[in-house]
Amino acid sequence: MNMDKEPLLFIHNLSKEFGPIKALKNVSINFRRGEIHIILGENGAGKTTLAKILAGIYRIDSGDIILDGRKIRIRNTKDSLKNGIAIVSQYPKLIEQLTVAENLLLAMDKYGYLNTTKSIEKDAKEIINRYGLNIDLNKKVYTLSFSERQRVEILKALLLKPKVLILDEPTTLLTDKEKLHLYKFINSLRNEGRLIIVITHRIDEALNIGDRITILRNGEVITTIDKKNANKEMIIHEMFGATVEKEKQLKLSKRNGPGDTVLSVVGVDIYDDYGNKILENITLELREGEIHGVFGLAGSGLKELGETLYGLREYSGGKITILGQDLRRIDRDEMANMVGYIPDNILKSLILDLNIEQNYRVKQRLWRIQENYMEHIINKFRIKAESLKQNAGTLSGGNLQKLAVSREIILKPKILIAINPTKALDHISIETLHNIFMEYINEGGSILLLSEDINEVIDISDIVSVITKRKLRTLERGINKREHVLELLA
Amino acid sequence: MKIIIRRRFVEPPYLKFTLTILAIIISLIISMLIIYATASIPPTKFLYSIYSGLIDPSTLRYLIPLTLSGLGLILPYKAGVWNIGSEGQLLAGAIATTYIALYILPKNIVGYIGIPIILIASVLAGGGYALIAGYLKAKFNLNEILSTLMLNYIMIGLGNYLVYGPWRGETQYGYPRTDIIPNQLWINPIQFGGINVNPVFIPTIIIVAAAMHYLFKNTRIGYEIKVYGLNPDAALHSGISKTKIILVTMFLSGALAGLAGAAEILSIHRQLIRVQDVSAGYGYMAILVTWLSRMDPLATILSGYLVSALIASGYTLQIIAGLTIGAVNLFVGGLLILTTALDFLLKYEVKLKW
Ligand SMILES: Nc1ncnc2c1ncn2[C@@H]1O[C@H](COP(=O)(O)OP(=O)(O)OP(=O)(O)O)[C@@H](O)[C@H]1O
Ligand SMILES: [Mg+2]
Repeated sequence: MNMDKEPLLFIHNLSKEFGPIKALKNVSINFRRGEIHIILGENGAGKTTLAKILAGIYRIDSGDIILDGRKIRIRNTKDSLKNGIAIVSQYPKLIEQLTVAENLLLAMDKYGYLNTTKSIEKDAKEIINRYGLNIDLNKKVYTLSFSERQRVEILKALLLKPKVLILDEPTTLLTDKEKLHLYKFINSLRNEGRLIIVITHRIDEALNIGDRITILRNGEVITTIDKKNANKEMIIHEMFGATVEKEKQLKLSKRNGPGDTVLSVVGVDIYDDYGNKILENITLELREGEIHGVFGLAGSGLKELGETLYGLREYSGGKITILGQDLRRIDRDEMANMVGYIPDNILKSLILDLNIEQNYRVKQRLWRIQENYMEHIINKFRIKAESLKQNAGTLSGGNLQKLAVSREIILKPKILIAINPTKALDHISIETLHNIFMEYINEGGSILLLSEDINEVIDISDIVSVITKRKLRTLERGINKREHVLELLA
Repeated sequence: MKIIIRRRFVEPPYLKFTLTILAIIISLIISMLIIYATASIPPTKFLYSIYSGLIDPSTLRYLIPLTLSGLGLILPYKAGVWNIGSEGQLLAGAIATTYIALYILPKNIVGYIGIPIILIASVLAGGGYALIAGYLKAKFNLNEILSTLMLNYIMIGLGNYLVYGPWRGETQYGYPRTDIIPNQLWINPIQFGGINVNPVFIPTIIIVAAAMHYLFKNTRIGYEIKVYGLNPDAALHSGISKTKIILVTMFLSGALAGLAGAAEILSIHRQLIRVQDVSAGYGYMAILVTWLSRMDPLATILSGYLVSALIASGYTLQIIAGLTIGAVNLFVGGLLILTTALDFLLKYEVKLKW
């Protein structure tokens, strides 16, 4: 196999502005055939913008894109596919009511508009077998889990036989096992001589799978390094520059012990979207001034648990009490006043067509909030924005997440229910947010942290529960060591 | 030449207004050309009739039902609730008006007591009728477009059943209409600067438009309506009640349509007649009025006036050019499409580079 590291894709002096925002400034990167090239950078660095340019979703303002020694122009997604560049976006966009094969057919016009799925099945099966993808072509999409959907997206991309495959934050929603599977798979694609570009803000992931790593900061390329020469400290330094030290030493600790029970769940059954019981006989307690961390894998029912406690789902059996009131008696605006809530998908709680300020005001208690207070919050959470008038839809993924979290915690509700609150955040932003959580706890708040990130749960929780096999088990108070959690998972 | 299309970051002031004017001019030119090409009516004649509509005093007569119902529609439309039942809600108001005036109030009641009672009844009837569809949507997620449309036909059927049946007037020589309501309950126009102005409903329109302007600019509920329209999921997560938004917007919009029904009976017909003659599609034209105003309450008065003028000019066209009302509809249709199409320029700027 020819594995020479010859240049395949060369981008030269790319710039992209959105009004006053310079998202990319004279970016030049040399991508080689047969490598896994990581684009790493803090929230708002310009990673997604770069991916979208290559995928033909945004057009460049200036600069050149050279593929196989030839200058190409990418004006739309068709151009990009024609040149053999395919992208797997962070959130799969499939049509729920169609089967996998039908979805594939929709994406592919080379099979003609009138053809049945037969023609595509042969090609798809070949790819499935070659890479061991484990996809059932005849299943309806709505029955698929997240990782299955992502595999469908990858299959869709591979049907186009791309030279360049771009994955934008591919592992955000995968379990550890699924991640390993994906890494293995990416490796075999690389070994066929394709170029794989992986966008991520996770340093460990970059070091784990990348051959070379390009670090972006504020829309500029800081450096491109070989994995052999890289280590975590130096990458952190390059990614964040001077902000690192400041946040590091801040690390707050807690003062008070747990107080009264603010939320209690006794013997409750919880259901998924299709009415299947996803959690059985749940019992759970949250006390004032503590973080109760619940760890579960993606799809284990974390999301459904959070939604049920916030009053968005039906439940049966047992009883849920929030601040002394039966959940069934609490109406929506009362709930929003007592409980802060960060949903699994922040697009459920933000309005992309409104600006930052207007998004804050959506919450009744923030209706009359002062502008300078908002600005203070933006700085505190390190939300990267031009002004309060910037549309939420134009914020980067991580900054959008910070906006959603900040809005829920600003007015210090008694309880915060947070589902994967740091999911899209970079290394430093996670530290910042954890510090803010501690401050909130010290002021008498309580957090129910529902997280797929085992380290996060272990690091900041006072008490830990684990979801396995539709059951929730709580470890003894004080015991939250990794081994115990893993033991329960086994 | 290169065409560059970019997303706008800030919307220039007055752009909405300019685009609407542009839409009016372009659709005017297109309809003139079509009419000239097909019927050889010179553009001047067409223009003249439009002009005559604009200055025709009877334009104010159409303005009242159109603008009242159109203002009402802004509320649900901002919330993304597509009430197309103004027609039925207007008729509910008209029927309630007639019922109260003929069968409930004593014959000799004085106007300043009787009229307010009637107006309240018409508001409750229109609003209550809209609530049926609102409730079905809020509770069972029933599509409001279908339910409000169906409810229109029910109200049309009911109205005609009444005038052909139990309510047919004794003094009407067998015509399908009720008796005339007592004349102290009529609302007669007054002279104002040389034109006839309705002393109750014209001020009502101005007050309602101003109040709605304030509602959307400065109040929490106005903001909640807008937020719900933009992203119902986010509204729900932030504690905004779906039921409240749907019921409130539907009730108010039905209420204003009901008031328009009362206006038709009290100031124009003075009796209930065949329903197709009470509301000649005002409920549907109100949708157009709302859309043209881009859901701005103050602009709704202007768009209401424009559409009313077009209706009036339709009659002029018939007389001076022998054209049917279709010629006006051609213009109205073009206007609607162009307004929608030009909305593109609100979000994107287009530049030509040589
Ligand atoms: N459509 C847009 N309009 C205006 N500004 C935009 C738009 N898209 C991105 N930006 C801005 O460009 C900058 C880079 O955004 P980008 O989404 O590329 O960041 P990112 O590196 O992917 O960050 P994250 O890790 O948070 O996803 C940000 O400041 C963002 O606000
Ligand atoms: Mg991104």
